[in-house]
Amino acid sequence: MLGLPDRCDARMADEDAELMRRSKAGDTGAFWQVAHRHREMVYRLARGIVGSKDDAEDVVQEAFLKAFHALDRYDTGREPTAWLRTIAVNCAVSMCKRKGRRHASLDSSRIAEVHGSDHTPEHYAVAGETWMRICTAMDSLSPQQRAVVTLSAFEDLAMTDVAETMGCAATTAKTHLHRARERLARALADVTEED
Amino acid sequence: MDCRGARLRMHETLDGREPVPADLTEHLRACTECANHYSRLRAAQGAVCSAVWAPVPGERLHEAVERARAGAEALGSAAPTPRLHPARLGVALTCGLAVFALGAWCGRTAWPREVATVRTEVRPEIVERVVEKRVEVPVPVVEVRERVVVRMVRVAAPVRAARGSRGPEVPPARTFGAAGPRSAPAFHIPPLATPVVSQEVLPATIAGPTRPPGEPGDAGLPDPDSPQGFALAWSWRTHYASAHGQEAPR
Repeated sequence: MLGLPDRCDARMADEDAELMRRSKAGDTGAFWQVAHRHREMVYRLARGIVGSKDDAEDVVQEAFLKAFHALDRYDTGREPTAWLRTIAVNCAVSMCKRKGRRHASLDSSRIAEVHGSDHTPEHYAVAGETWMRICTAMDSLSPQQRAVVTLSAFEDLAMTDVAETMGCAATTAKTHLHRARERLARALADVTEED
Repeated sequence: MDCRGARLRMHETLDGREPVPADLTEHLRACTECANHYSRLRAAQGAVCSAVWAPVPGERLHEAVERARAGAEALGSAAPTPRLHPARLGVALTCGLAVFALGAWCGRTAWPREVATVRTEVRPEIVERVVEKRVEVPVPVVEVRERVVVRMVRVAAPVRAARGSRGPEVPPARTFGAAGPRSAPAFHIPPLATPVVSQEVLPATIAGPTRPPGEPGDAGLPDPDSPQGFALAWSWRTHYASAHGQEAPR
């Protein structure tokens, strides 16, 4: 799968756990080290859920601020990545609910970000149109469905991890994912047939 | 496997974690509709996974994290803010309500003393009303009695001997004087059992027993217990003793 996030190896996980223990003990600098190590993961999640680049950056800022104030409730036995992922998803879903249904497909900057400038204008136009259709299909999903699709497709998480991050049962997460796939398949039917 | 079961199994194979089971493969070969649906799902999944990912703006993300850090330092609380857990808050509210209900039930709390004072002041009001009802001022009645003498002449009543009769005839009560020639006051004379032949009303006299004149207690002499009567009796005995040759009383 193209663009999968880098997996944290065992050494990185141990370092994160140690930094979080120091953070909970009062070392604020250790917490911001953890924040910088996982800022890209939080941004990817936010971008997949809220759609807009600016909103995703706001979600990153809000998520780390909330995580800092929730250090007392952090369980040291839990993986720091999973804890930050949960906070990021909750912040992104809350922002979607606050701002209502967004039309992220109008954010034309996505096209240049994804395809770069090393393609021909024709390819750029076709890919851009396909991209707009996909963004429109994603925007038709509910925030929870977008979160499930983002976690399962972009972060490559198992359904149990998706449910843990969403704070719901595994069956509920599966239901969200199945409905999202059905809706995406209907919205992208003509695009996939052309391919 | 039917179409419903096949569509449920499709989603489990879309993420690539599990291989396509044999029974699903057989159903997809037999059912064209399910096969088309499965191909659409796979194409949409592939399109989303390949297209949505965007490069991360590293410098802007660094700035976003630093803004969060500055915001946290501006709030001035590196240490976590202790907050009351919702479950503990619910327990505290429940305990408070229970204490309030118990106090209200016992009547020891929650009510100000002024209310109890007002309640005690209500009783004398009721008592005063009862007292007012009991106090009654009797209206003085002045009766003026006048005695008259009615002289009646009675004869033997003719008793009817016939069987079934109601007894001797009793004349109704009569009122004399109201229409008389001397305009005397009206007197009601109760009827007598014996028939009255004639009766007349004599002039009225002052009430009180009449005594023979010259005796003690007579209306013409003073009471012997009074000083005047005692003096008169003393002089009479002195005169009687001297007249009959007796020793004068001392």
